[in-house]
Amino acid sequence: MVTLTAPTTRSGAGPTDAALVLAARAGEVWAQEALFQRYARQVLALAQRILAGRDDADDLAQDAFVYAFTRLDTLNNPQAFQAWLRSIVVRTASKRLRRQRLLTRLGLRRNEPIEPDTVIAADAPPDIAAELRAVYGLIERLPSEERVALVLRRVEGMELSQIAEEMKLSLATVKRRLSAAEGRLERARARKGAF
Amino acid sequence: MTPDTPPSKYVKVDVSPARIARVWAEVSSRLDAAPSRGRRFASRGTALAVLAGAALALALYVLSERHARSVWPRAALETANDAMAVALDDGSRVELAAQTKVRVSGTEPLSLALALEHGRVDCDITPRPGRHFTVSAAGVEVRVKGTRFGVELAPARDRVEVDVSRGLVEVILKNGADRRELAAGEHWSIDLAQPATTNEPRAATSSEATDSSAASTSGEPVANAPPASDSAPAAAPHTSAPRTAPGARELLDLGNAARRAGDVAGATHAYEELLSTHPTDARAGLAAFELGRLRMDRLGDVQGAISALQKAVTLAPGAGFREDAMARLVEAYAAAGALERCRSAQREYSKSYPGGVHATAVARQCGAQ
Repeated sequence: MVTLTAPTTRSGAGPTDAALVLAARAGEVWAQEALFQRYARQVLALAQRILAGRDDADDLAQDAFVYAFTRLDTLNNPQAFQAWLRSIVVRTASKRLRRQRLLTRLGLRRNEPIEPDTVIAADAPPDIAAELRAVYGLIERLPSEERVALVLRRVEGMELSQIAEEMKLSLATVKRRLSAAEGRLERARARKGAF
Repeated sequence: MTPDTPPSKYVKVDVSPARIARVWAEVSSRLDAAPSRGRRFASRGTALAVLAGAALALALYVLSERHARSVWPRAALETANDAMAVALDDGSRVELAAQTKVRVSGTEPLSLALALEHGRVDCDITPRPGRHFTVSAAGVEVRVKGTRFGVELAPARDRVEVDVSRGLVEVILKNGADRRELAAGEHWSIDLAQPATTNEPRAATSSEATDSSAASTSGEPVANAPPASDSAPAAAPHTSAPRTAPGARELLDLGNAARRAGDVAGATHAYEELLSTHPTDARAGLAAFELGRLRMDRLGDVQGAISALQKAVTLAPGAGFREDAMARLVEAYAAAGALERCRSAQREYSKSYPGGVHATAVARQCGAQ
């Protein structure tokens, strides 16, 4: 179909994700912005929890939204926008971490350890703070998929099937990644005498 | 841990309106540059132009998808005081500036040809194997190879200008006198009223803008101006003097793209150029902020970061990223060991953003424990 760009008018679409997605697909910028405003906090928070770096999280959030808005046509179920967007964030984070790891290995990027106290809220209960400290003390050294899987499991508290869905990996692969990551986590804890 | 209290609740995350606004500004800017977005071309057509545009769109569609034989080849579209845009289903777009007339002249299958009779047309063409897209203007033909470019024919029909913002085009004079490729960022123009024998010196970049301006505002038709499209221009091209001053938006996009691709040098260069060539543009503040971050985080250039962050704070007093820039400035002063200035910046931050998202981090700087 040929479409003419015409003066932007509100289509009267309702507030559901599906309506916003349909309007955004039609080029309505207000609908893109509405979707952004609806999910920006979630996306930024998820990005920051996975990457543990504010600037990187901003870039990841941008990449995820741009990717989503330029590929809305590929979303079969517009009402599933939220889950689709989360999956984009997770997979984009994984790619980004893989690239950073490569650059680090090539000596083109400094590997800056995460300072757990800059990540963990002051009001975290001691057991949760200890868990988060262990996770964030380790993840910078993990391969990207292990890192993402571990954060989704230990920080986001997600089920394995959900993790598999968001990472677009098989359940078996997720189990292997988590098993490897958790093994490293336990060994790190043992070394530090955390138990 | 229980399902009711996932540890994620206890990870510090700043989702302040300022941060969200800054991310949206970036997303919006990148979407503007993406061919699929309609906003760039929306909201400017009059009802008449829309109707005329529908005719052109249909003509282009028919020409691109089927054998259009006789109905559309000479279809014309003319704008009055409003610009108008046409989008094709493959993402290609054609935008007519005000006071522009184009005529569909191509009739081959999978071949789109527009003849610009006056005014300016900007095209953003999605590459498509086997399709040819050309714009001709007074004997100059521009062949497209998947790109964004503009063609302008001066009111007196005595000058044609072509500028390319993305991709590659081939410019051909119909008498075969010249044929060249223009890449992104390059500009080419020709004075049609000027005989080749009295050719101007090859245009220096610095004089090109003046020449162009003079040509496009001269109201009188030239007596020996060539006819619309089928006679070769009796003139010498101002041979592809590249336009060396891309716009602020273009530079910001270039810088952001380079930064995201890990090209620190390229990003730094683009931001620096934006600041030096468009210091009063609304994007200058953001460019200064990004430059400061790069110099600080990637280049270890603390003094350079301080200079850029100072600019960011000054240039964008109401911007969403100003708080971040001020916090970064405190950090940069601390890294440089400039404790007096660090404390001054610290006080400035606390005064501007009491309870700000960086308050704790800022308070830890400048030698404080």
